[in-house]
Amino acid sequence: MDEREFDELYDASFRRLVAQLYALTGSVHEAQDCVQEAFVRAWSHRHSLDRASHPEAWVRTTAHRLAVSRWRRAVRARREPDRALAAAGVSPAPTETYVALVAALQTLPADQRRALVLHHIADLSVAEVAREVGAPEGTVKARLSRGRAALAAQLDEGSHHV
Amino acid sequence: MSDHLDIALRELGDLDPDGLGARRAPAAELRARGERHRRRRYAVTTVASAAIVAVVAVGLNVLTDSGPSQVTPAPSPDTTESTAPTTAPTGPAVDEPTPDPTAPAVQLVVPDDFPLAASYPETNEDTTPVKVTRRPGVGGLTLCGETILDSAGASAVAGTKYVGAEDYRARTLLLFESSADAIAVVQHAELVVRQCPEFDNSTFTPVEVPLGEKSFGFDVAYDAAQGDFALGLSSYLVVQVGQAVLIGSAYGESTFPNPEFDKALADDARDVVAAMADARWAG
Repeated sequence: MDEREFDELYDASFRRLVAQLYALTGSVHEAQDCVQEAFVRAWSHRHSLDRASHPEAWVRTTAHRLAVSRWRRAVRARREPDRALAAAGVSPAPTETYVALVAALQTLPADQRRALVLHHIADLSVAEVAREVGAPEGTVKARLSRGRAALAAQLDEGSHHV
Repeated sequence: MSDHLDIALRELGDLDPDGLGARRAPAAELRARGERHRRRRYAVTTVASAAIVAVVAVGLNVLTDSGPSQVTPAPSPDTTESTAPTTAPTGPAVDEPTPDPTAPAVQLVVPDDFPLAASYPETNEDTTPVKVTRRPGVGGLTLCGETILDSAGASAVAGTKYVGAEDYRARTLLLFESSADAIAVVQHAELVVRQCPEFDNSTFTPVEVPLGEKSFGFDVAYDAAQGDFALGLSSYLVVQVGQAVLIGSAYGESTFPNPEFDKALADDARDVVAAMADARWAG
């Protein structure tokens, strides 16, 4: 991967990767930091990236691991994980719909949330999600099903409270 | 509700991060940070490689160049320092124990077909074959002034390593005169690791290794405090079966701690440990 290819990948995927990480973490700043740090790693490991069939997936996976790692550190440090997979509301969002959706996503188990984000937001097939998370397709389908049901219930419940 | 949810999720993916307050760093800035990261990583690898070279050099001084079935006595701890690469050969050390010619010598041999490289790729990243040699694959480590995982005291040695761009794996098999000697090596290494949680900008963390008769493992995280990723994470395992000790290591860049990294190292070694249990070491 040369500079031009890296810059093209960054230009093409930064926005959607931040959006996906935002959905996962509930914090746009955390999402931005993790995605940019993942691109730093990508350039550092560019020879490995050459062999990756999906460089964007490599960056996304790295960004996700960074986010999880930060969250663990936040927990270990016993501080409020305000910038790591935090509860929604710490980040600005343009509409109530998105705030509610991101907030509802944060209530789901991490595996279900990741499956939903990869399938519905990153637009990966079930098989691709299974490969990326390292789980059988059946497991991914179950996570998607349960996650969607839980998410719908959360949003429905929230709408009654408005 | 279902369609509405699908649409809402897809639209969430279309959000413009700039509108959420995200600041997008220039690509050139990220590349520059990546270059610095790469240099730091290579610096760590170079230090590790130098340690391996030093240990191999020590080992070469005591290994013969004949066939792999020959016994390859390793230096005793007392003579290790005197066989440093810069020391000119001066003949046997005065204190070196002399074998009793009347004692029945049991030659210990690592069989040629012993699967020390089991689960490794057949070739390194540069397409050269992964080989099993009579040299240690894992370099010795010095923690808080104590050196562990070298071949001191072993009667026979075999080693292998796989070298990839971001993936370095190695194994050493050591054979000792007795199971007690082998156990002592594992116990000493574990004691040193447990007494030295931090040294030279590295963090040493013991981990469980459910293999063999006596075993333990540990992670070495380089510069882990500076970021969420360790700049380098090495995972080690030490497994004793009878009079044999397997030392395995894997180096990569990873979050820290990373139980999956440790588990993969142990899982990959299962076939080797099984072969240790079945092997006959007497030549």
